Amino acid sequence: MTRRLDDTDLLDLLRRVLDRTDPVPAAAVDAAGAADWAAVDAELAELAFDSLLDERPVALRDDDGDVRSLTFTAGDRTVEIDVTADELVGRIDPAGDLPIEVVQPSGRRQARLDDLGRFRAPVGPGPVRLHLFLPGRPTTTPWITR
Amino acid sequence: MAATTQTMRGVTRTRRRPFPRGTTLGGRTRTPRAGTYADTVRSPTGEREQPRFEDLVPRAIDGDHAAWESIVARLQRVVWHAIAGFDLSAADRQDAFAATFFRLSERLATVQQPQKLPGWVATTARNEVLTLLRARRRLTPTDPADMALPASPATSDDSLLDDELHRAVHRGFAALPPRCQELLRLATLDPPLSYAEIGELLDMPHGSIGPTRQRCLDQLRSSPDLRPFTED
Repeated sequence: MTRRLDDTDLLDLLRRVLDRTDPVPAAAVDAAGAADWAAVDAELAELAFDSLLDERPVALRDDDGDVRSLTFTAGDRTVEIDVTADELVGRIDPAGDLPIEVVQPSGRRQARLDDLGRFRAPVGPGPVRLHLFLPGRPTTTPWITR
Repeated sequence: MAATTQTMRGVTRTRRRPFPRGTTLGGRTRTPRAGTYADTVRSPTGEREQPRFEDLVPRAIDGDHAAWESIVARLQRVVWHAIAGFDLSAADRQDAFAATFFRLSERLATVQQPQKLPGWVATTARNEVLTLLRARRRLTPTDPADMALPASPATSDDSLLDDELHRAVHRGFAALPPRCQELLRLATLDPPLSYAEIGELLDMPHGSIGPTRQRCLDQLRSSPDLRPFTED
């Protein structure tokens, strides 16, 4: 049995075929659905440097290709972060008694700064962001994807 | 270069970094054009009334989680299919997908033209993919177009299709040139992307999208797989 397949029919068929053969994974939708918490009222720290985007090509660089270095500004503070596969190491300047949180879609982890404003926290796979509880002004870095 | 934008809540927020090319949410024209899909509440493919982005965005900004989930639900196919044509592992494609919604949640308060969200998330998703690929390869690409490979990870398995016609469409689609596959994927989206948005994504002049779309559909229709189902 044959029938006329006009453009609308064909696109409609294709849409159904793609939804069966290449569906959006439920886990990805769940992660996206959880993306809105806590971001709305926090101020967004400004990205000032990203080694991934700003550095010279790999051939000209040192042998530290597994570390991504980022710098953010939040008010008058500078936040430097080095991200490796399993760890986040950073420094906030000027230092101070500032609670911070390392946030991933799977959960969050409190961290403390030392006297020099340094911190260190293990991270799992997937994106990560840093919440800074600046007095009266909660601030977050954008999500860092890895 | 500082740009001050008026947020939906009337709070003035300063951002120094412009969005990447083609991703501006707040353009100079503030009034949505009449006749865009955003003016209709009826989906072109479904019978149910769809919530409008104009209503969902302010509610999500005010912390209404259900509104945010509706936004994700309405945009998920746009994001997923916008990043189909890259050489990505399944895990990386999911990461880029989720990251796109993270970006959107960060920028929600600066959305001035909610009806442009589909185009914005599609562009953002592809930028996320380029960032991921850069991180994977640790290279500075000379041309982003070089990083798009004609990979189509989702067109191999048709065991899920019980309908002969669906299987034929699937096989015919998989045999199309990668460019056609990408364009037709984008043409199946709801909410739809404009030809201008598709042109921007595929780096094609938008005047050529309509004719190319037609050519790709004709090619699919006349593929050997589909011949048995179509009239002469």
